[in-house]
Amino acid sequence: MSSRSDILARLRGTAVPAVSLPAYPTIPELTQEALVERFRANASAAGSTVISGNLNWSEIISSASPSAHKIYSDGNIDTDKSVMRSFSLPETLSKSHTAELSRTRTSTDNINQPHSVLLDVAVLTSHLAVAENGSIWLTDSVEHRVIPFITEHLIIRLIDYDLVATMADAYDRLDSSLAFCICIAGPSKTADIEQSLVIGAQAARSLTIVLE
Amino acid sequence: MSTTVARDIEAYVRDEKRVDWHDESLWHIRSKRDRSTHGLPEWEQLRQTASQIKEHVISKLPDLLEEFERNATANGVKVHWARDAQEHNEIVVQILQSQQIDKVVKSKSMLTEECKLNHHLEKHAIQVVDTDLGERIVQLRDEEPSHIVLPAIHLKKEEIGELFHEHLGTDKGAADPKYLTEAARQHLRTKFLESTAAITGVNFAIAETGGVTICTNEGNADLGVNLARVQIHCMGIEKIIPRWTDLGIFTRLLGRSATGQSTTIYTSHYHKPRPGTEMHIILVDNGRSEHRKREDFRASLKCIRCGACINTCPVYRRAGGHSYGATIPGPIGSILNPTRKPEDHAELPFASSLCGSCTDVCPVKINIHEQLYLLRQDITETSVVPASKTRSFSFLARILTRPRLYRMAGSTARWATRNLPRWAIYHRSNAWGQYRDLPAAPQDSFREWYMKNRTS
Ligand code: SF4
Repeated sequence: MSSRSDILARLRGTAVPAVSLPAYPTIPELTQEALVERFRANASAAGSTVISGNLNWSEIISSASPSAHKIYSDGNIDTDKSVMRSFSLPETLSKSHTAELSRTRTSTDNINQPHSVLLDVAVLTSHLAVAENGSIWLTDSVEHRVIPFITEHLIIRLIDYDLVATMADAYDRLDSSLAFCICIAGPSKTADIEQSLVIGAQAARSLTIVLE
Repeated sequence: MSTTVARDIEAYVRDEKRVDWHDESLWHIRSKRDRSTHGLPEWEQLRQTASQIKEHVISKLPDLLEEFERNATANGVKVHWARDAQEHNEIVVQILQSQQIDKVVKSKSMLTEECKLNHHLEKHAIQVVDTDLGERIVQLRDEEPSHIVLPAIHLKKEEIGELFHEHLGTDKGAADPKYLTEAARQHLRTKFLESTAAITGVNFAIAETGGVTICTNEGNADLGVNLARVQIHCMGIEKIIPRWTDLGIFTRLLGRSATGQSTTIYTSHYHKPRPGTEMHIILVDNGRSEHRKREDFRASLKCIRCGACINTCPVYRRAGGHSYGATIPGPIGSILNPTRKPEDHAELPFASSLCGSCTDVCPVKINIHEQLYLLRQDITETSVVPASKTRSFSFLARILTRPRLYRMAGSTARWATRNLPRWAIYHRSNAWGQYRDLPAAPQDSFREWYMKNRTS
C-alpha cells in the first residue's frame, strides 16, 4: 500500500465525531479616522516609519539609506535633482532606470545570479493595509518575490489602498488564488539573543510606509 | 573556608541566578502575551472559534488532506506523503539528490526537528544551515532547541558571543546582541546566496486553496524560499485548516500568544512555485494518525505551536527545555511525546504541577493539564514496571547525567519542595514521599505562591 493510502486508511479507520465549522466572530466597525490612527500607532510600535503629506522622494530614500546606490522601484518616482546627483542617480527613478543603474534585471530568468538582487533600497507599491498590526500586503505583482526580503531597506507606497481593521478583514478582501502574497508588519527583527530586540535581523533593516 | 568550597558556593549562587534569569525571561514573554490579548475584546471568541475549527479539522482530516492535495497539485505543487520520520527524510534527500543539490537552507520547523532531518542530510553529504538566528545558534552548538519559538532562550549572550567568536570570527569577548545579530546576518546571507534549495516548516496549510502559510519575524524563510530553485515545505498532517479566511482567526491568535506581538512580522502565503522552479510539500504522519485514535488526547492535535503554555509553565521556566529530553518541551510536549512514544517519554506527564496555567493561555483551548492528569493514569495503569521508579528516576537520571541541565534542575527540585502543594510532591509516583516528609515543606500553598509571584 502506498503511504498515501495507508495514512488515509488509518485516518478513516478511526471514527471521530463530526464537528461543524463555526461562524466567525463579528467585530465592531471603526471609523476611517480611527483606523488611520491605529494603523500609524501600530506600525510605529513595530518599528516602521510612516510618512504622508508633501513627499520628497530624494529625502525619503536618503533617510532610509544615505548611501544607497542600488535602488529598485516598481513605479515612477520624481526625485530632487541635487540630492539624486549626490547619489549619482537619475532624477526620475523608473523601473528601467533602476534596472540599468544597479545592473539588476530582477526577472525570474536571472535567479541563478542572485547577487544581482542585492539591493540597498526597494520601493514597492501596496494596495492593502491592516490597522491592528500596522501591516501592508504585497502580492504577486512584485516582479521578483525575493525583493522585499533581500533589500537592505524597504519603502512601501500605499496607493489607492484599502485600510482594514483586522487580519480577518484582510483575508476577506484578498484573492485566495494568488500564487504568492505576503503580509509585512515591520522591519525584520529578532530577540533570539537574551530576549534583546534587534531590528534588522535578516531581511529588510527598515520599513518606511508612505501614504499617498 | 577552603578556596574549593568558596568556588563551589560561588558557582552555586551563579547557577541560582541563572535559573532565576531563565524564569524571569519566560515570565516577561508571558506578561507581554497578557498585555496584547487583554487589548482585544474579542479574544475569547477568537479562541473559541479557532478551537472549533481545529476540532472540525481533526474530525474531517482525511477529506481535508485530499482536498488540499488536489488543490496543491492543480497549482503545480508536488505533494508527498510520509508515514514516518524515516520516509520523510528519504523524500527530502531524494528531491535534493535528483537535482544534484548539496547545499540547503532551512527555516524553523519543529517537524524536521522531530524527524532529525539535519542528521540525515549530513549523512548524505548535504550541507544544511538553519537560518532562524536562534536555530543557527543551537545548530552551531550541536544542541537541540530548548523552546519551540525561542530556540536559544537557555543561553546567555556571553556564551553566544564565545560561539560566534569561534565559528563566525566575531571579536573575542564581544556579547552585544546587536553586534552578534549583525554578524549572523552577514554569515547567513552568504548561505542564502549559495543555496539552491530551501526547506521550511508550515504554520497553516489551506485545504481550500492548496497553499501554505509561514510565519517568521526574521524573514529568513522567505529569503531562503525565494532565492532557491527548489522549495520544500514539511508539515505534520494536523496543520491543515479548511478555509482561506480561517487564517483571519489563526494569524490573530498566533503572534499574540507566542510573544505578545499583534502579528509575526512576515506572514507569507505560497500557492504556486515561481516559473522555472519547483515547490514540494511533504505531509507527514509520524504517529499522528495513532494519536488521533485516542479520544482523551485527540484534542492536543489542535496545537498551533505558539509556545504560550511553555512560557507560562512554572516547571519549564525553572527546569529549562533540555530537561525534557524531547523535541517539544513544556506542557504540550509532555502530552505529545509520551502519547506517541511512551517507551521514551513516560515520565514527562509527571513533570508538571497541574496548575492549569497552560490551559488558561492556550489559544486553541486544549485542555492541557487535564490531559496530563489522564496521561499519568494511563501510563501508570498500562505500565508493567512500577511507575514510581522508572518515571521519576529516568527523568532525574537524564538531568543528573547532563551537567548543564543539572544546574537548572537541581534548583527546580529545591524550588519544587518549597513551592509545590503536598499532593504534587507526595503523589504515588514519588516513593520517597510516601513514608516520610521531604524537608522544608512549603509554607505557602502553590497557588498562594503563584499568585504572589506572578506579578513580579
Ligand atoms: S498547546 Fe496551546 S499554548 Fe501550547 S503551544 Fe500548542 S497552541 Fe500554544
